[in-house]
Amino acid sequence: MAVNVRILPKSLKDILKTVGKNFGENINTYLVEEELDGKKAIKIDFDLSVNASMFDMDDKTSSISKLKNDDSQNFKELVNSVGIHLFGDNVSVFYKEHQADKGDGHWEVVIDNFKDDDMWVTPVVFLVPHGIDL
Amino acid sequence: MTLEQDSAAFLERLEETTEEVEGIIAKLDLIDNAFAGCTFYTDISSTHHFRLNVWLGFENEKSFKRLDLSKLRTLILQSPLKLHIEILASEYGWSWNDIEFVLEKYIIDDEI
Repeated sequence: MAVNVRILPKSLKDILKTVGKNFGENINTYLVEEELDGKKAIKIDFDLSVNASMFDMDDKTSSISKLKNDDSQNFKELVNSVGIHLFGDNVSVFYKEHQADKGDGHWEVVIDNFKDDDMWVTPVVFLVPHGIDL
Repeated sequence: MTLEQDSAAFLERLEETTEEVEGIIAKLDLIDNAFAGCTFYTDISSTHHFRLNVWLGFENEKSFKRLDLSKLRTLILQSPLKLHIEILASEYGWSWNDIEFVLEKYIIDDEI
């Protein structure tokens, strides 16, 4: 189901704009409604693939999806590094939470897992509303 | 939201990114140092299409006269500016095909 981007706060729309430009695509057109852990969320249905060498993950990406369960500490660190690169300042900050423009609630950028893919770190990304009805 | 309201909201959103847009335009081959910035306005055409007008300001007559808007338009359609506009337009549910894109030019110098 396609998503109306109007529901997202401006700060998050700006992040998506930047991400899209970096990949030469309009990410807004790849947003779909899906469930994450039983809750409605928005999935970025586009492979935001990053070269594995940037994260010292060469030769480890073919089974990268197992990291979440097998090594949660390394998984969290990789999520943070990829988040900083894709949705942050590319130095040290991952712009993970975005307050709603009006009213209460916020949106969270969640890297839920990574896809198995040779030489590429490909995150599975959701935009998760908190205190906001989808 | 009506088309007029969306048009006004889009204009506001686009204006927030003026610096970014001007940066992209300034890098285009047909643009020289006399390019001083751009101004946007939006309206609804007689066929009820959303129209985006981009006015390019130049500091001298020579650059103004030399600039071929038709060629520049072609260049813009191949530049990151198209994607920039597409992204902002999609925030309002529009695709590029929903937009009538109009380029204009003007001279900033009052004496001319």
